[in-house]
Amino acid sequence: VKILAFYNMKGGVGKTASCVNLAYLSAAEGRPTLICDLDPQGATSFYYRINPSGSHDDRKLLKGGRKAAREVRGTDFPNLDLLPADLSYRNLDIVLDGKKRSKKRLREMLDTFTPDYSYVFLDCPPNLTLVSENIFIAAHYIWVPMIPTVLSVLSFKKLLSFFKAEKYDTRRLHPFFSMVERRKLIHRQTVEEKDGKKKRVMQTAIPYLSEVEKMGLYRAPLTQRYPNSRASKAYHDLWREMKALMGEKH
Amino acid sequence: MKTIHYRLPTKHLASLKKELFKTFAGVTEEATPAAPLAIYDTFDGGLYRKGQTMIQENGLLRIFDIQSGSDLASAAISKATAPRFHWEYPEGSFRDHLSGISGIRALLPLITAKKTKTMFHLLNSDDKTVCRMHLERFVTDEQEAIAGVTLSPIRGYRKEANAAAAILSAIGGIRLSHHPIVFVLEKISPNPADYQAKPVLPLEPDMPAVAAVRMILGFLAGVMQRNEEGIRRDFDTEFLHDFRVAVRRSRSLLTLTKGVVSPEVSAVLTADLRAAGKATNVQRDMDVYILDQGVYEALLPEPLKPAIRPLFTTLRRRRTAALKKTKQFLAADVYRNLQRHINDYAAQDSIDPSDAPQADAPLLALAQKVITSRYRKVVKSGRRISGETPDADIHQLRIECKKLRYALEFFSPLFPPSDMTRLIKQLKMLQDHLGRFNDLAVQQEFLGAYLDRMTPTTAGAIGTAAATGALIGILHQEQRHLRAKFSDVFDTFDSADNAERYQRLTGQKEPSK
Repeated sequence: VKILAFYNMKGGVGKTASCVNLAYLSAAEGRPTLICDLDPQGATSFYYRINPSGSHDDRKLLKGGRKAAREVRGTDFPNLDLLPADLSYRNLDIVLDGKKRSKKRLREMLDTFTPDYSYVFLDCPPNLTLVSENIFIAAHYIWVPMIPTVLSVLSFKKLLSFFKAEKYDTRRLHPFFSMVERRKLIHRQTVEEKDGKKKRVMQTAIPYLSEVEKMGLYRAPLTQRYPNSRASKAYHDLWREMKALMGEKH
Repeated sequence: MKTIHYRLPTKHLASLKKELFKTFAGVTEEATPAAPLAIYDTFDGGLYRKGQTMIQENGLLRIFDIQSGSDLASAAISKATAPRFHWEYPEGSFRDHLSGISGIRALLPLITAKKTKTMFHLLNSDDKTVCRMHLERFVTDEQEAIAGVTLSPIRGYRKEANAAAAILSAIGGIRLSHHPIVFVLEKISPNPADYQAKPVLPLEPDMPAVAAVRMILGFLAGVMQRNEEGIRRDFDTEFLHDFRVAVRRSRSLLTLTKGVVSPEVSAVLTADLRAAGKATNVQRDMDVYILDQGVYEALLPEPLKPAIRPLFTTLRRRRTAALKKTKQFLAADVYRNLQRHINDYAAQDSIDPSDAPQADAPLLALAQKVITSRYRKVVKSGRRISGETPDADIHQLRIECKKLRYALEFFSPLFPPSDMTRLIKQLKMLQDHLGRFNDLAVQQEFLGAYLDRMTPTTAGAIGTAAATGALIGILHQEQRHLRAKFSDVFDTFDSADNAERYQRLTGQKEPSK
């Protein structure tokens, strides 16, 4: 199993959209896939039309896989399951703080019920807290969507230095550009500037398109509902590039 | 949660949708129009016995697990009828799966039906699918209707699945431990699931011997009769093989149980059975060679491989002629009378006249006597074989072994199964060795005769002659090798342990070394 986190300290950068659409592509290829919606806002769960059950809370999540596994729901699509978000995740940091091995809890939890899946996608809350550190330890790959703005690039640099300071492996960080508006000069420049260096940024950029925005209306992955749209094509390209990087065969 | 299968009474189908709408916030359905479906298996139900079946529908062949209802392998098919043999399928996982099951047997379409399929998606108030229901309705060509539902729960929505299950029960659905397709399989007649070539009959230790003989003969005549169609239509080689084994078993039974059947009846039956063997010998010989074509080619060095092919062309031609003879025999009076005589005899229940002194002997005592005497004969002939013994004596030992084998198999219901399995396995090892030895002798003789009749003048014919000669040489080598190993194989059979096992079985003293 490979654990893929979609993370950015900043919100509204296309993190959830990437997670929803890429996870669908993974499952559609026949790979058993699980999405863990760790963001208390629960946007991923919403897109998949899944509500958490009343009894689901953060303590259960951390008590271990078996309790959490009971909360896993099948989506409307083959091979794709989802662990829905819960509003009580807001308090996750506080709960974690009181625990031993508090940075490894998420990894331990995932270990117990992930053997059934090829990929686990983590949709992460936008902040830099103890939850984020749990994610950094649990994930094999951390995909960082960035809007190509100066501010966004700065925040990625901040993440890099945090990784270095905490001695996390920076090689697991993989930024890619999302919500790219070609018409806006600043976006294009930033993309091209990064393209020139090409060090860590993925080749594929996800364009800003209203189709993506409309996902909230039809509540299904864009890659499923409009497989031939421009945005879908971009997600396909990105997924192919990600798989190559992860050493998967097409 | 796993899928759950139900059988539904067809008259309640209409109320299903109504009930679903009552319970769920939404129901969407995808209906597939009626499409023909064909079910395949080998004559002896090779797939069915493994809990599988092969279904052809919508240009697709699927091998299907009857219990779970899931596909084990599938392949696209463009022809109207699926290829008979696994080697006729394109290479790949489907063919691999099939070859492990069908072997040299043909896959035959056994039943056809029309299938209508409807998939119900049961939705909650978010329009999220919370359960799926797969309704299948089969109508066989005999107009028998069967309806089944497969309930596929979705992870995390157990309550909704239970609600759907409750609806199915309420409208008369019966929960199954397998896919409803079995009810279609049950309509196949005659059913491959109940084909058995080997007699396993409810014999009792104290029944009169003649009653057992009648029962076994009647069973074997049934085996012959059931294979007739497959022989006539030439589906595969195993119909004739099973037919011939039933003929040999019948003859052997009459010899082994001398004194149980009156000599008059026995003589008539034996003569007709001998005729049945004789009339089909050539076809079977040709079948064996042709089945082994690949083996022969593999034995030859690369340049000689294509040269041997004309030999097989000749053999196939001979087989065609032989098949015609076989078919004539099946239609002839000799065979029709044989069937009638055996069936008449099997249907009687009187004790035979005074010239059958063993007729009312208790079966167990007779069986023990027969097995002991056969075992002793095998041991005696086997021990006489040395490096100088002519091949004919080894051939004789092979015959003795066969008789012992049949005796063990006929009477096995009288003895503990574990002992019988062990004894048959031991004997089989010896028989396999002798059988292979005999095959090699017969093949060399056959190839020699083929070579004798050749007057090769063309380059092609000279090549064929050379390849035939090479084969004779290779087969001879292998035969010598088997000969050298004979005493080891026989000693394993002729062990003190094995002797003790026979003694325990028959209550007779073992022959001393």
